[in-house]
Amino acid sequence: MPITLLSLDDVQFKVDKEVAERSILIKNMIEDVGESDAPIPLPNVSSSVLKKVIEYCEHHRNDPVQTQDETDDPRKRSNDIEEWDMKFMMVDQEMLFEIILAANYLDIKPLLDVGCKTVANIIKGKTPEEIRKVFNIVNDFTPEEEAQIKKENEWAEDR
Amino acid sequence: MPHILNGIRAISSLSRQERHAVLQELVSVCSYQDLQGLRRLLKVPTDPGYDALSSLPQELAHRIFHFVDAWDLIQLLAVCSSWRRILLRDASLWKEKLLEFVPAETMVVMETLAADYSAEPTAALYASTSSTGWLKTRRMLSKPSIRNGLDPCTLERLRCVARTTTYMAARKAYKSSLSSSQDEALEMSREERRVREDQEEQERQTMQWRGLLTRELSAQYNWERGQCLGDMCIVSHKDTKPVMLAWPYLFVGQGYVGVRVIHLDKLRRHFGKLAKERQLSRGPNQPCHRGLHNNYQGQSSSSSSSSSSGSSSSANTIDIRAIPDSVLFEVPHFLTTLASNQHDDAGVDGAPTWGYGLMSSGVGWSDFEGRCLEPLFNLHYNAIAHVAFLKNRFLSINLTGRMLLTSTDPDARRTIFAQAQISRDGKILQVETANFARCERLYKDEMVEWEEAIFLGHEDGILILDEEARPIYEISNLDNVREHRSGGKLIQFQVIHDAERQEVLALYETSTRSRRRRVVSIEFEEGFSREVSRKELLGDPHPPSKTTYPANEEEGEKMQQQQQQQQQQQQQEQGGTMTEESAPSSLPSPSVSSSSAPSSPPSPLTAATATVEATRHTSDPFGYQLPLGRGGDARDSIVMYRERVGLVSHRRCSFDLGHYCVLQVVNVRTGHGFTTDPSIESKTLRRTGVLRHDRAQTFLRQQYHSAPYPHHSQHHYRNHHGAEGGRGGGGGGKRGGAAGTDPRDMHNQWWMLPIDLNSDGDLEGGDDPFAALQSEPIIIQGGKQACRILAMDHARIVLVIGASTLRIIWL
Repeated sequence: MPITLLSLDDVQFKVDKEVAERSILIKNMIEDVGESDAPIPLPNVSSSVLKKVIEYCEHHRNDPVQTQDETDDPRKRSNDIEEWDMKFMMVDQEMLFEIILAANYLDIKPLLDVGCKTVANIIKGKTPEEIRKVFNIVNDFTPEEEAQIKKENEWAEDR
Repeated sequence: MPHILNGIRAISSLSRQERHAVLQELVSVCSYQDLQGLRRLLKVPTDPGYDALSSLPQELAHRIFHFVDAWDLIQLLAVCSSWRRILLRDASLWKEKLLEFVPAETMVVMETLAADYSAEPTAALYASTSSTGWLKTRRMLSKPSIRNGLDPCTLERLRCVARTTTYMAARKAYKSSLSSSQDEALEMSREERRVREDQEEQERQTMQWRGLLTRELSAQYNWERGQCLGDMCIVSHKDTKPVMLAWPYLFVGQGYVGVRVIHLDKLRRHFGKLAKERQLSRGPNQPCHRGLHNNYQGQSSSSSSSSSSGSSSSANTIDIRAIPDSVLFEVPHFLTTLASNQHDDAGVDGAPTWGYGLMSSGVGWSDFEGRCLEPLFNLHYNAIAHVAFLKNRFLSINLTGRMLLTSTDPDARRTIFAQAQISRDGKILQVETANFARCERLYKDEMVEWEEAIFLGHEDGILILDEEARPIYEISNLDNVREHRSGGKLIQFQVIHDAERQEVLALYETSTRSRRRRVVSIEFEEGFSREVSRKELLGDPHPPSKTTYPANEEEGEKMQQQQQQQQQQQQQEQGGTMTEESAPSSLPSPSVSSSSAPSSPPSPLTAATATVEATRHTSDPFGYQLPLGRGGDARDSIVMYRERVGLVSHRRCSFDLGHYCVLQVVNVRTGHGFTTDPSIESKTLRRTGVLRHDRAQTFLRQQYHSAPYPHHSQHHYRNHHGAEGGRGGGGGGKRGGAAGTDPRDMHNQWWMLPIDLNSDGDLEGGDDPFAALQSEPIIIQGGKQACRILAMDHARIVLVIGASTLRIIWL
């Protein structure tokens, strides 16, 4: 039975229950309230983001549910993103962060992880200056702080 | 929601002023993100200073940073102040990175080393105590009823906590008094103050972890590149007896004088200072070496000038008596090894007690500062051969194989337990111990408990006993991983016991004529009572054995999995040719790699590990990397530190200079390491997978042979250092211009050439032959003297050159 989701800007999305339940938030909601025709309001997610999230859930509808242990694996690596996910995550940065926020709100752990890994991959191997450029950040250190940081990082310059 | 929307829709009916007021109100209640969304709706370009990452909820930012590797994490600190704040507020992030890095070393680090990096030494020991804990502690200590109920040790710890954080509070007060808003600080609610204190504490901790991480990273980086930060000679004027490295302490036996304990970190700082002074006296034209780590680096190279004039005058040489903060224990007739372990119980002043055993006719212990040294006492009536530590007891073994447990507690002393069936002839090569949580097992139809394991290595294997000398397990047939073979003579072993692994790495010599050395890894269940798997980490190419078990959750395994996919194909192609090639002519001992390599297909269950194994075994690094020296050889020396194996072997030089020494170090798990052997043929290297070496080799040959014959090496180094401060950076240019060296010095200089046993491809540095060779040569003074490797950990190597010179190499 399809479930209706209502985005922040009042756009309705009809999705299969199985797909919607990738989100632990929605899953719990359905369990608590029982199935009904009423749309589930998601006041934190805009339609454009929700569309992306649903696309992800559709693709991963048959994935086994992650157990708690796996998600808490202390050895975190960012190089194990599936190809489809990698393509899926090729969006502009704002959308990327919106997806992360939405995944966090909707409690979709795998999506959250993929999002975080994608950001981590953007960061990877870049110099601070490059990172500032990519993330649109202004260098707001005072000269003294700058000197301090430089001193801290001296050893790494050879790399 | 609907009624708000309705209300907003009514906005069109308002006057312009009213509308403005409503919008103003709306904007003022919006969060930064809402505004960002608003901008997008309005198609206004985003604020250039807007930083999506720092506006994320902190937990999400942390989640992202957890996926970033340690190198990058350090870079991120320099991005902007808000990122820095986020990163510094999460000590656990840094700790995690460090733990992921070197699980066992960091356990030591947490207890002892962190102290070195903090302004408040004791604070580090109690890093987990937050300021709330401190408040409680103080309250507790202020009540005599509670205070009297505590045991002295706990009380002392608590006092430390109270003291520590008092200091912090004082510092904070001082800080706020500096800022003009002193009144504000006073008005700050208690809650805010608490939060701020917590944050400060977090930041302070983070900086400590960061410092440690930095150090580990640079050590690993140097390890992989065969680079060293510096090296240093210690001259003792007395025979140097075996040395032990127990981070951060170095124990040196000085003949009949006694045993000296040297704090390596302090020594390093001392050298940094010396280097700086020299620079100042030399004037501003001299290059300035970067950072504390590199401070003394220049000293090593300038020392080459004095290599002929005697080592004592050389700049990187220090007399052992002049070392600051070193402690001399006057224990004459110090015989062999020292052992050390960490004690659980706190000693004087609540400081952690470290023990060590001294071997002559007795055993003694102390903390590292030389306090509470127990006198030696003779219990054995025979010379002691080994000492090891259990939780708070000593285990000493004499030459007849009799074991004795000695407690540090005077009341429980002389707990002698039965002379066990240690080995056939009582000859023990090595003793190690491990402590763990209490385990139970069936022993002679009885359930027995034990929590300490003793590992006794003898020639044919390793015997594992519990603290009552009841056998737990016996490792035998070291070579049985390989088909048609059995036996193997144990040379050395290493127990790796931490939260993730219970493992014994054994370095042995095959029992056949080949005299090759191999490393086998034997994994155990917690408590070492059952073997889980056994596999060879370095050895000849051979198909995976039946004893290989499905992949466990080992870190190295995961990495291998990734490599496997890339390498699998190559392996298959190479498989045929690999085995045909026998050992190179340069190998002194005859090779028996007559392997017809039966390619029995692995079962589907073990397929994953099997390929992993296969990728590891296609080369026989020991054939090339750790060959026995000429003649056998008693002069060869081997040490093991976790999965690192270090070996100094002696070779005969091609021209008439007698023998020379070669240092080879390899991490058997990752395949990284370095060698100083300049005679390895590049052809050989390609076959064995030691590829990075290749071009470096070419370079070395050019250096040695294109040189005009009588040329002072000193000139070369002066030149080099005058031109550029420090190593790295356009290495090609500066070396290209350097004059060559006297070929007779060839074996007096150690160039640490990186080895990568995993690498099958090209050099990382592309076409630049110098990229692989960034290290300065280490100059071995008086190069004809025999050289031994005495101690090693993941960042240091200690060598003894001749009879009385110690050489410490920092990676």
